[in-house]
Amino acid sequence: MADSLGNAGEHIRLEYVPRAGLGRLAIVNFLLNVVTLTIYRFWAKTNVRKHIWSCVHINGQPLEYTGRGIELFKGALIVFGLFVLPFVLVATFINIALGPEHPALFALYGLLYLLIFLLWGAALYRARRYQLSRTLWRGIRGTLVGSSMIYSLTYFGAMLARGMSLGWTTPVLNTVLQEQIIGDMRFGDLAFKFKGRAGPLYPTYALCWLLSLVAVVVFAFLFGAEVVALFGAEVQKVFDDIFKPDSEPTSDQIWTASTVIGILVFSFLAMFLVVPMLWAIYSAKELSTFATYTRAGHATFKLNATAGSLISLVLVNLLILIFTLGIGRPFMQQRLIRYMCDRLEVVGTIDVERIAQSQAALDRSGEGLADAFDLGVI
Amino acid sequence: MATEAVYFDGETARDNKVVVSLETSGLHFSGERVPAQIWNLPGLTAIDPPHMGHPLRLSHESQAGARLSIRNDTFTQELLIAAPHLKGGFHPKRALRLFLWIGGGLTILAGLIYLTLNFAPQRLAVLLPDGWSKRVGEQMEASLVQNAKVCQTPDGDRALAAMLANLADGTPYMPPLRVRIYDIPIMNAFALPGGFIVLTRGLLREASDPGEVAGVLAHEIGHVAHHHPEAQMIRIAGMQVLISVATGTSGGNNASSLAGLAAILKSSRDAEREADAYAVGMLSAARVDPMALKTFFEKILKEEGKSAGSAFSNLGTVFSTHPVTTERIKQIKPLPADVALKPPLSDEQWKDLKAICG
Repeated sequence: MADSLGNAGEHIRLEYVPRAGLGRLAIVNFLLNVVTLTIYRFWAKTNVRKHIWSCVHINGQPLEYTGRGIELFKGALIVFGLFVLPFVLVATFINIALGPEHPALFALYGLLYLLIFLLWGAALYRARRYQLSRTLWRGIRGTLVGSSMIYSLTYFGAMLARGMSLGWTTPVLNTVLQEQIIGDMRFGDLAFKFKGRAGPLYPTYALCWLLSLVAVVVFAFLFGAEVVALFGAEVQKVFDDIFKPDSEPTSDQIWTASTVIGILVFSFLAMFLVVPMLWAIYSAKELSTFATYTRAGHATFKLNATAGSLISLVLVNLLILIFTLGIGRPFMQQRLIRYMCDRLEVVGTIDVERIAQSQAALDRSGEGLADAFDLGVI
Repeated sequence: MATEAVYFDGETARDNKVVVSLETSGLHFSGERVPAQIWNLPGLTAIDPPHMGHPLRLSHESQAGARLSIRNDTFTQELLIAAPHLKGGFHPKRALRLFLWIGGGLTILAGLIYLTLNFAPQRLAVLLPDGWSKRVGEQMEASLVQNAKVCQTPDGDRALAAMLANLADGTPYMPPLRVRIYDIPIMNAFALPGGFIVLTRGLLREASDPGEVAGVLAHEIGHVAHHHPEAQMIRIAGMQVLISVATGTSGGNNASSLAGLAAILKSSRDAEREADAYAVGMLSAARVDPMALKTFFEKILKEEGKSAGSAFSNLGTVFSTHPVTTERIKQIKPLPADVALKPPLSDEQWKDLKAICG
């Protein structure tokens, strides 16, 4: 430990130390969610965060989550009252009074989608700010000091630009957005900084873009061939024969049928599994690059993210979700946090002793928008 | 007993080494940079439930931001004996508060559901401007009958008008109606918002007597007179609002149509009884034998199951979602013997009506 010897600070080490009880928490939360028609979800989320946060040890001291379920509940109520309910009431009124094809209804829906897109970034930013402000380490909390609306406008612009450039501005835009949010991030009075160029991300981006283009073309080709085959007389006859009652299909017929079905299944898998997997290469590159661009005190970060590990993280989480019918969600969150703890390294030192408490005001409610948009923040 | 611990004051991130001792008056601790202080036991809160291998973290009501972190399992054991509330688990007070919040939320939700499904629709239905319900009724009719063609012949139309006129005889107020017969094979009849009534070719085919058709028509007019279709429409809209609010966004279509069906089923029994009573009253006033309606209901009861799961079953139809029950049939009683009965249509007109769909 550093003290008054003029030492530059401490090395920071993250460790995930699991604690028993998450399974019990998952089951209790599930049951209470059912009983309360999901109103309990705010408290459930809070309890899971409390547990997982307390397993993240930084230099031996666990994090502490001080958020409360009631704050999330209030946040959701505020968004319902100000956003969801008025919209639904007006839409219903127009529907009955003016008919479902009235232009006013289209205008209203247009406005809704515009608002959602405009506020998407704000929802992300506010959720992040709420979580940081409820996260304590050594009694000091974090925050985001900037404006969620400015971030939201940047985010909206980025979405537009991304679409117009067929994705090719993604590395630049992600860098800009990350610079903004990390630049606003504080732990107590310790500021985080983010500085770096998007250039190094481009070779990987181009690779992923081209690979997924190839994948989509192959998929489209397979699918097209499939459609032609299915409607072709020969295949039709094979299927007709097989599905006739008390038919005895020949091995040739079975072979044809299973090839047709196999290609169909494969082309769908290609679309929904292979393409996101290809993009994991870019995600890994971006995550690790952004880590090196981030500074706090005299420290920089190093994240050992690889495409393979990201894919297995996401795939196993998907399997947990499917096979536990969503009850195992806390374990998915634990795996995500654990992934970061295991792979994030802090290079250099931070003068922890000198960090003073954050003076930013605390939001009284949290994550309402993020909940309404179902952003799936941890 | 005493142990080493770390104290965070909540002002800076500095970790202050302190020595803590457990006394009857509470936890006494002091350190190089921490003046001696006492945290009494009842004011202590454990940040998370104590767990071997994890530090026990404490806060105290007197110093909201400060934390004391103890990494000594034997000391922790002793402290837990002296202050068992730190073990965590069930907090009656917190559980009660949570129960009140969630219970309150559920009560409000239940109240809203009651209001939307049972209380408001019938009351609002009367207030609905005619233009609105006519537009909705027209759209519903179009979507229900799909591409089926309207059955129309000059003679058939005249017969239908005659039947309506005969039914209206003796009823002081007839709501404005538009009755149409569609070329649909399934036996069915329904009333829609705005006074639109739909009968099917299947219904005409099954009826062996004009009194049976008149009875069904009177039943549907009963729905119109009681504003049941409008109430239904409001009920479905209200249900969609509730679902949108509950799910947070603009709601899933499947969920809302399911809920719509549930809403219809929920409301149907009383509405059917009202429409039946209205029909019997109307038939009696017009001196048309209500026993024909009874005969027809018995026919439907026998046929039941054949038409179940028909194309209309998801949209408030008389026969598939509002099943005819023996209880309903029992309510229909013959007119007194001294009343001179009147056929709702002449034999000629009945033939014309039967032939309206060609």
